[in-house]
Amino acid sequence: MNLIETLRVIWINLMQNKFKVMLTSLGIIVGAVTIVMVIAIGKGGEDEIAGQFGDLSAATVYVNPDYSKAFLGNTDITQFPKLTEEIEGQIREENPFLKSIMRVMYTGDEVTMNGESNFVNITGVFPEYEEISNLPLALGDNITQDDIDNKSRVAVIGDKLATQYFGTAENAIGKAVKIRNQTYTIVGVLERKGDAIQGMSADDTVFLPYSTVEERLMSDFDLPQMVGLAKDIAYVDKAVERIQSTLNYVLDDGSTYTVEDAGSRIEAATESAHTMNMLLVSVAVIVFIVGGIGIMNVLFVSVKERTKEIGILKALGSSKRDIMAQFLLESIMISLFGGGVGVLLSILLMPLMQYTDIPVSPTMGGKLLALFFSVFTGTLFGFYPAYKASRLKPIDALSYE
Amino acid sequence: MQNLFTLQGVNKSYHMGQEQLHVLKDVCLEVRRGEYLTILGPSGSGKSTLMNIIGCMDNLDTGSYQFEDIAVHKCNDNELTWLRNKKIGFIFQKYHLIPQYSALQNVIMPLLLRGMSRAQATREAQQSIDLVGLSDRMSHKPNELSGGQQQRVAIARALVTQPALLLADEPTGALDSATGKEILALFRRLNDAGNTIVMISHDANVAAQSHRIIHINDGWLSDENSDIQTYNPRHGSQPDTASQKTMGIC
Repeated sequence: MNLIETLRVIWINLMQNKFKVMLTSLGIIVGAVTIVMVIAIGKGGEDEIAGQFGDLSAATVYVNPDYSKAFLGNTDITQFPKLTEEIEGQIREENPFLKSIMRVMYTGDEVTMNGESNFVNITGVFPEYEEISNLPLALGDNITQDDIDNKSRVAVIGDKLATQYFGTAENAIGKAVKIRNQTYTIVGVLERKGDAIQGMSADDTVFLPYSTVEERLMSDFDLPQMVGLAKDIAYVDKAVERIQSTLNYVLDDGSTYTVEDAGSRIEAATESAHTMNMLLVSVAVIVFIVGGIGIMNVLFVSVKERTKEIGILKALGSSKRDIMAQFLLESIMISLFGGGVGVLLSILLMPLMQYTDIPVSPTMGGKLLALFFSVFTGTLFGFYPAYKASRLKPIDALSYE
Repeated sequence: MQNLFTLQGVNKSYHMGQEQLHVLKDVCLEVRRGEYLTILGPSGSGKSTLMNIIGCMDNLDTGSYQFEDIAVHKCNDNELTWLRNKKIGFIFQKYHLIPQYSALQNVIMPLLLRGMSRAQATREAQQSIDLVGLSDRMSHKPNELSGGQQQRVAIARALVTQPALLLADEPTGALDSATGKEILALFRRLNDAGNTIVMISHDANVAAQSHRIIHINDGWLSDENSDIQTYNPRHGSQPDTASQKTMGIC
């Protein structure tokens, strides 16, 4: 029997049992939704990591206070040793592996722009931040050494803030930013970096000269951090080692600060995302196996129910191949239907994910993979019932009641 | 006239648990083209087994079965499938239509199984549906048809392949007597048109319509002149020639 006629016959059978087809494909539908979701979550995680680290070079090094130490030791945070200009100078002097290093102050405050007030991230930086954090300017001027020296009240703002408060980056230049009743002038707007970054995004941050922040905004509870760039990726380990040894002797306890490099941070984050992915994929595979067993069960019952029909077809001259093809294709059609419905359902469900804090990025690949897995499951689990059907003896099948 | 098929010394037994059931005993049968033959016997006489063997649905244990120029007893599964599709048209007591298919789909199935296109199959099916007088019922499903109509669809399905042999198993067994008579009249017409018909029945009245009656009892075949005639109250009423009768059984 040719393929089109076989498909037509299958279509007649499926239409006769719509409800059964729905129930059978339920497992596959759930499986397909799971696969699409899992891959979207996996991709979302990867994107988030990529966003968090941006175009950050793997050669970037960080010096961060080890807060766990502070809290575990019951140390008063105001007594925590602070990274000073002297320490920064010491590190720079003793470290031939560093291209540059600077202190940076992450804080936040009530900021008024264009008459609107909101809590906004504020980062105190040196001119080198553009290179170290890879934050090129879109428009205007950067913070200069003069600004640092004069503790100027100038600001560079992220692209999102500029468009949110002033409409466009052009409009923002020269406008005022009010923080704690002090007015700062916007001199530059950064290029857009993308909004996948969790917590602190350069896009919605106000950058001020470090010295200005230190003088006007910093409290005893704020701890400066450091960001640097190794001369070459090959020197990262040595640079980290050398910074730690400098800290060990300039501070009473060098372990109050941890020194890390972006490469190992990215690696760790990628690895945990990878582990998460594997876990999610294995859940999806289990769902598919369960769905496949569901299909197999229904097909076995279907072969039993239609034993007489198989006998009739055999009497009329259906070959084993025809019977096999009919039942196998029926299984594939059911699973293809399940896969299709699952993919459509996942497209509908995807927007709901924004109400959770799980990052998702839906991909075409995920949908295709879900369809592929559906059909694969249908073929795999449809094979045995189809084989059984094809082996029935015509007289036994005909006399079956 | 040439024989359509010849059975010689056919034995068939089944295992029923521990017991071995010898169903067909040294059966010999010759059927010529254009014949209308009834194999008459009570239930359990082995007539269904004989029909399954003639219909290429079951293998025989010993003996030979020659259909035209094919040695059926040497055929494998695929060859038997081919024979069923090309040479034999089955008509069953319970019609055996596929319930989810329309009458037309049921009739064209054997042609589609050959790989024929739907358009051509439909054209040929139309002729055989016309022949059984059901042109206005083609799109009906079996459960929307009466028993007699269902059997006509089944006959159309058997005819559509223009088989060498129409093999009917109690074709009127599930029908009331009036409808049964119509079906038998249809068989008569088909035979007049040149179709070879072998019918299996336990009903002597049905058998009386045919040209030749072979009795089967306890696995043995005998023609109507033999001693085993308990199932043919109207025995001797057949008008057929003596030569035909004696040729049938060896």
